[in-house]
Amino acid sequence: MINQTAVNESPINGDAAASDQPVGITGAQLRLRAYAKGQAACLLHLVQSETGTASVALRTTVSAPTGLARAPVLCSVYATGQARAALSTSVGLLLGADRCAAPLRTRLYATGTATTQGIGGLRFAVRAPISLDPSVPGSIGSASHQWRVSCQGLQLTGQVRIDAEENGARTASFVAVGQSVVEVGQSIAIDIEVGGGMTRLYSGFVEQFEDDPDANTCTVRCTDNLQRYVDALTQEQIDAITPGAITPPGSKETGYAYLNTRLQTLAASAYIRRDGGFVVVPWDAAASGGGVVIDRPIYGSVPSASTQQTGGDAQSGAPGSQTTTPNPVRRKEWRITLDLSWVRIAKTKISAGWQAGISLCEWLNKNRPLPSPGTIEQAVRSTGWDVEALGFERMQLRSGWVGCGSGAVAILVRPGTQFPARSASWTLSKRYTRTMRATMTWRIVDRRTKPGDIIDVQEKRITLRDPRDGRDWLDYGAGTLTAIDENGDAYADLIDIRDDQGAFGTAIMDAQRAVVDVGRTVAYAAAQAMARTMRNRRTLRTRCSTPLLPDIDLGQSATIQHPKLQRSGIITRLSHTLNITSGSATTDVEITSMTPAGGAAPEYVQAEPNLVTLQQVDASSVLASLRAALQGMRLPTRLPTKPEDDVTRGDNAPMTRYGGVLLDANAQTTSHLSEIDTPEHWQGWIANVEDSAMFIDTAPRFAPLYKSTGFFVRVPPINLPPQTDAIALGTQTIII
Amino acid sequence: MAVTLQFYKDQFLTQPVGATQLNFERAVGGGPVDQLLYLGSAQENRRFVADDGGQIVVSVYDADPSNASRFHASALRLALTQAGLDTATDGAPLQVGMQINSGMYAVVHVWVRFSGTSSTPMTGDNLSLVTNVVREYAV
Repeated sequence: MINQTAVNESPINGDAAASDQPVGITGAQLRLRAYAKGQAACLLHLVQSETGTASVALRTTVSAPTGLARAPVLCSVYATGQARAALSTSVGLLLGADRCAAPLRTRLYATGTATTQGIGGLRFAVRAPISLDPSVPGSIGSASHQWRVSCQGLQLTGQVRIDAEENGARTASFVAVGQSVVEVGQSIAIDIEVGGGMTRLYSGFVEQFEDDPDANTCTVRCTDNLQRYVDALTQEQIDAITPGAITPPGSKETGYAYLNTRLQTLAASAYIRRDGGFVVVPWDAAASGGGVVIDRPIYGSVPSASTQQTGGDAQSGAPGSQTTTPNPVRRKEWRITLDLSWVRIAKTKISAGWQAGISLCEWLNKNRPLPSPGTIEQAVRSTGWDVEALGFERMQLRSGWVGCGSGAVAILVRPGTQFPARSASWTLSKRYTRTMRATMTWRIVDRRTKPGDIIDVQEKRITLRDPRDGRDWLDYGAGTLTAIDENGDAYADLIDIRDDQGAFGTAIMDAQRAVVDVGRTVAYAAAQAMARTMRNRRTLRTRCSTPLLPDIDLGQSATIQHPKLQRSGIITRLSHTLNITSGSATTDVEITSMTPAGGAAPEYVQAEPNLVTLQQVDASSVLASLRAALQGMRLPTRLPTKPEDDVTRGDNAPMTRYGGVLLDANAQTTSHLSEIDTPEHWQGWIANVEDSAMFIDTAPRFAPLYKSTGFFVRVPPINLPPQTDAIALGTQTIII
Repeated sequence: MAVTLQFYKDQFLTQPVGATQLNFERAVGGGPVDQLLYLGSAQENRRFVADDGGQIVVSVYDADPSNASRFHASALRLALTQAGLDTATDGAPLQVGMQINSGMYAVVHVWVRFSGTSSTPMTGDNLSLVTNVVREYAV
């Protein structure tokens, strides 16, 4: 079956705009049928009606090799309104009885360009700067200059006031003649024309308006919607306008909240300029837009206050308090502790065996009790070690005669008889661990900390633990053998868990991955602390009023000149007041200076975030110290074999090689057996022989037997090195 | 034929440039003036691609190139960020992407820097911004 969707695109014809046309998708169905090759003819009969509508349904065939359908139509229109057409088609090979569906879609699109050309368009002008020169110092308005304020055709009356402050919305209020002359949300622009030049005083939106029917006025309040504007920005756009700022790891904020989080780490303020552009201006911006000299303060004095901001919380954004008495400065110190732990594991293995040491005839003639395999297995498993291998061999006996010595013994074996063991061997292993820990601390300290400053310590602890602790076991043999002690025991080297292969533990890998988070956490905290420090130093504020200065804007560097005072700083608050009725036009301006006044910005404001990473603070030494400490903690790989630990016979030959034939406690003892009186010193089976005298006169290789009380398997105690306390790798102080 | 893609003065796409005059003013001897414009469409569920299949490009058009008393294309710089204006070439067109979607959250920022100078006051309205031919599709 052929199933194909084709998309055909074609432009909208004519001059209609895209918004008038149904730009979209139309549908058309194209049915294809494959036929056997041959010739087919189709007669097409067209009928034209008087209404001018003619319809025709056309079915074509598709040639299998080429996939092409041809349907030439020849029409002849007769005077009677009928058309006849002969349709000749070529056909292809029948592909099947099924129909083929090939829906055909047609998409319409509009074309055009976007342009700024229009009724207004763009206007570019270079103009002379506006100059206000009242003839009498301190006069409010003067005949020497005239100004006109306009607001999009509205007739203004009364007072126009524009207020601007950093990190806040720019607001405007004016009174227009008429009722409900604006709409909420309507964009507003206020311009002032002085001396032939036009200056934009304000751009914003109507926030609310209030009608006064008696006075036939409408009081309008506007805002530049700073928060709403920023909320519409993407994170990438906010990042681009706050270069050098740091986002804390895990931040999920957007818009205005995201901007403020980043501004916590910058010595800068954000606002919308009077022409509507959004900017972030550093506090130390020099000559931004050109320095302006304010040399005509209206009032007789230039008040200024040195205030200190105290308290406040950068996390919650709660403002501090402003008082006129100096308070101690609060500074933050950051302490980050990295707590690492991972596992040292090992396994030891012992193998041992036992033989009965007596022959079949001795067993038959002397009736020596021998252990069953089940007894041996129970004894082996009761050690508590892991049984890796266990095997035994039974006494083999069948019915018949058994030759023993000079005689023969008749044996009748009942079917199903289980014979005891004559030998056994076992391999046991035991695994054990020690967990190593190390800690390291970094302190981030403000270099400007002075005696008397209040230090707020912020702690952050990062704990990284080997996830394999308590699980998964690693064969000690995975390490390289590096030492052989005097007993012949081999010790494997410490497995390097810095290997990035997961099988060897992930504590260091986790630490490496955490480096970025640690670094950014530290960097954000440090930048935040420094920005707050800068804020505390930005305390000298000077205000004055002057004749209207429409050109100045927030963020501009400015100098207030008074006969007795000169102060420079950045404009941080601005207020224009225009009274259309009286003709007065004044500007209140506040500039903010760093203390000491005119001081240069500290060098910490960098283009790149000052990330602190573990590598920068020499993590390799951390790991090297840990490795050296672990080298001393070696675990035995096999049991030490000292002669006195072996069970011996009369000839001091180790019984472990010959099996459990031991002395009877009631028999005569000899000095060389005294050391094995206690059960801890022998293992295996003790076959009790009442007639111990039978063996006394025999060759020294036979010795009296002890009564057995069970099959004993001995495992050595493993003396592990003590679990060490955390290795403290010290504290590193970073001064920013 | 017309498309709904336009330049706007505000990010909410309520003030199209061209409906009223947009002023770029600088004082004699003063610094350049930067302005942010927004390229987008207020029509819902539309997307725009270049007719030639390439990038959508914003260019400066000079309606009066031979008039010495007017500013010309070299007086303007275009960039996608304000910082990019510092390294942009005077009068050079700006590529803004392969596709623009409609709506206020998908607008393209077009920063314009007017750095034309004059020793005497001078005004001109012969310059405009224009895109290459775009196709408007319904989404």
